[in-house]
Amino acid sequence: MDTKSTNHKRANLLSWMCFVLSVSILFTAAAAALQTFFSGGSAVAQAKQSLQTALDDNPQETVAFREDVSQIVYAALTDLADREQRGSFSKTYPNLKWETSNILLFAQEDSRDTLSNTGSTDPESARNTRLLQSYLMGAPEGYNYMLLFDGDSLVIERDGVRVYDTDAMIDSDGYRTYFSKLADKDGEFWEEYSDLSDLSLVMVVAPNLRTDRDSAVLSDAASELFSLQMLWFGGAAALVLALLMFVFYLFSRDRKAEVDRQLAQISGEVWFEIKLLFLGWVTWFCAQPFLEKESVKETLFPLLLLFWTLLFLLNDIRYNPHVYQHNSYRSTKSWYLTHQMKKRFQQRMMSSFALFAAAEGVLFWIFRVIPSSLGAWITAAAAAVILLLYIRYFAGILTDFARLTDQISEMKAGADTPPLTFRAESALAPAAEDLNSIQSGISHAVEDQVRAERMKIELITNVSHDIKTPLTSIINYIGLLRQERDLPEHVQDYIEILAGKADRLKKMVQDIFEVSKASTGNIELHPEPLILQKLIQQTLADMEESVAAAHLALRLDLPQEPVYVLTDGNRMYRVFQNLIRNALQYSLEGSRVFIQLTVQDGTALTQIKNTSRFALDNLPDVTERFVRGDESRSTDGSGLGLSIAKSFTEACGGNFSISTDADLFSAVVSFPVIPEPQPEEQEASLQNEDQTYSEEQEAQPGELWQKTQETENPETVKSDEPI
Amino acid sequence: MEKQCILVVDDDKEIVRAISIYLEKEGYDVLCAYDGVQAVDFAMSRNIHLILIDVMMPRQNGLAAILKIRETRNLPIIVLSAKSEDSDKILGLSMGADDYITKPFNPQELVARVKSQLRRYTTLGDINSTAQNLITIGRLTFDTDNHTLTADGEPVRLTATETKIVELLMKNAGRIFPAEEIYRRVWNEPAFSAENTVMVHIRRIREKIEINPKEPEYLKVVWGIGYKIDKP
Repeated sequence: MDTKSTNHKRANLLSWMCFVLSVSILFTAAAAALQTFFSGGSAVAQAKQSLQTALDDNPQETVAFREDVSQIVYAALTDLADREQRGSFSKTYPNLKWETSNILLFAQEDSRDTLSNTGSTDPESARNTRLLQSYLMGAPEGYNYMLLFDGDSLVIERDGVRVYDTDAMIDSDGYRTYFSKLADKDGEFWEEYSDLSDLSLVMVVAPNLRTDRDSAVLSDAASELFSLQMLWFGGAAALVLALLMFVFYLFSRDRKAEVDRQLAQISGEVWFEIKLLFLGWVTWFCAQPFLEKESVKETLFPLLLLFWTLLFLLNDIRYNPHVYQHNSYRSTKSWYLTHQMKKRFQQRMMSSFALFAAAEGVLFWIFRVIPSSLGAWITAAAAAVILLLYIRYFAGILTDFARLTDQISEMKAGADTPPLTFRAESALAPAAEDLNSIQSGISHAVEDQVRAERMKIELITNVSHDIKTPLTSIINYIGLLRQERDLPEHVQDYIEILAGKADRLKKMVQDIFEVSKASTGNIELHPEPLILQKLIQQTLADMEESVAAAHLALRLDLPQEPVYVLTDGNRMYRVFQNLIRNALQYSLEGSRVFIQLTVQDGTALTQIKNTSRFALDNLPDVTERFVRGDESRSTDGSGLGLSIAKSFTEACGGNFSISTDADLFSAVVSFPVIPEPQPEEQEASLQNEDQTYSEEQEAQPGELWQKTQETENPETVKSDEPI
Repeated sequence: MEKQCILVVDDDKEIVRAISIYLEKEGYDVLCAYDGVQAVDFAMSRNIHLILIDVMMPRQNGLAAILKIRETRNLPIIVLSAKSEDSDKILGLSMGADDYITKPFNPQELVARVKSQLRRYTTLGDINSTAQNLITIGRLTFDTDNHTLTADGEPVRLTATETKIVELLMKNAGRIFPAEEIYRRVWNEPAFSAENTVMVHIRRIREKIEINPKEPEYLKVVWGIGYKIDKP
């Protein structure tokens, strides 16, 4: 795995290197091509030109030849002037090789002192005579160039053409500069050699003379050509290599991109300003050679640098979408904020105020100290801007505060609000986050609870449903047994017991079903305005028999004014029925049961109080299903009475609570009171035509209702008697 | 008179057996079936006067069977079901059932309901044919001329006060009467302790006219408001 990734990295890097090198080389080549194009002709062509010249030209027309000739003449004259050296050469004569006779020289002074390379110094020798006759007869055979000097005039002939003649002022080959010292009779030369007189000098030169200089030029040109050739080869090889590398790069662009990404990652860490500064510096650096008009060679490197810098920055921009956002200001800010978030809210506020105050203080000091009025104005403006910024910051916090408190109150109201999102730099962001996590925690808990509750209800529903079928059989066969006449008496007793228990079981199953539905809000409700006193009285009247059977005194305390509430009458009947049954069942014999209805702050409170037969200390939560005050569970009932009362009351929009004080057990059912409804729902007239009711016949429905109100509660019913 | 034949359908054989024993004691012929398909077969092929049918059964459920039977036969059908929700009852009745009894049921109540359905099925036509001032609500018919009440065609013996209460409520079916108003109209004197007095009478009337007085079908208490008999 490791080696693999290392190999990957290497391959990536290789691809990237190939790209960089190939592009650099191509860039250089392009620059060279440009230079060649603008400077006109290649370096090779120039070298060729000079070589051609060296090879093609007549050597006797070259500067070197002229130089050599003049040097030989001066040397000969110098040697002639030196008495002691008379007759032989003391100087070095360039290109005058005695062995070869490419140059013949004869010079004499006063017909006595002679200087020659012809093999004899005697002027009478055949060779020398022939030389001396050259002026008249032209150059001897094998020589095409001759120079004659007689101490006054100098004549040079080449191929029979006079190219230099001091008398005739001919200088077609440009010898003047070389022989100017000879021409100037009052000059330095003649001052030094003034004793030379009656001079005569003849020099002839064979054609195609090759001088040492020629070979030097040749070798220079050759080496230049060679180096150029090598450069070409090298350049071509580099170009081919570059192209190969570029192709390789093209095939592995993904790998190069990988490196680009990594580079971008690194460059992403650098602040934007630093990048800008770097770019500016590189640009300035590159502009220098151009401003100073230097050659391409000098501008190449800066150009490459600029090119790569730009490419690097482009890469940075490409992979770092918000490249300008990573700057020193933001970094400082985020550092400040993270530092701040660790502190408590109050500390945060204090330190932000301290920062503000410090900034204002510094600005005030500058304002006091600064001499120029413009500077003072700028300082004042800066102070105002900071003040505005601080106010804005503070207003933002206040807005967030408002949102936070709104959210809290909405959460309390149970609204399903979306989580709060504050700006990250908001001072209240941590608080909002905490609140959000609390909210999601609560909603999770509630969801879990609801799910668990629903599963419980489903289980109970299924179980109660499955119990019903066998229970049907049990009840039916018990009924059949009961009809048997000839059974012994004790068997009949057993059957009665079975019948009672089967009935209780049936009730329990129904109760379980109802409670489980009510506690999950799964019951259908038909709320309508009703009179609470009436409901209580009807319930009591309905239960008259069991109330009478219990040895208890019932005390009713109901207000005279009808108390209207909006609720489902059928369900509330079950609530009061269960509460009263509970009171009848668990009250101490002979004690009193109080049923009181009071209205407090728009809430109707119905209290049912009784003195318990059992000690109520350590009373379990009797409103829980199957929880009963007497743990022996010996008494009748499903153990669901209070649970039904509680869940029905709450489903109907009321509150249910139970409290105990010593042996006093009290249940409170509370509902919001509603205003008396308009009696429009009453039907227009009665259908009864019987004379008995004729007097009421004319009464309007509204009045009827009104009358009902008046007569309904003539006075608060107070009864000490068992009803 | 030919014995009336009742089809009892339930997948629980013991329940079918118990029901048939009760019904045979009352003098009916009983046919037993244990699933919906069998029930439809019997209903089509035999001369049956009433069907008692369970809802949740194998092969074909009770409601589907009722739909099938109702296509051709017009006879009273009573649903027996362990489902006790209002929505289940409404569904059953809207499928064409005439009555809905929830399990576990009281055998006596079952028998009473069977009798009621049969009586209405066989004799109701005669009552309706006589031109009298009659108010009919379900099983109950009140003769306003003679101030008599019949349930399933059988006369109900009511006291004078009870008759007045029934007449008031039946003539104004659907209207809710507070106890005080009933008291004033029936006793013709100002109400005093009206709630108890009226309630006692209401309970007595229920005993006489309702099949199951604890779950009244007709004479209902509107808790917190008053009493009423629903409109037909």
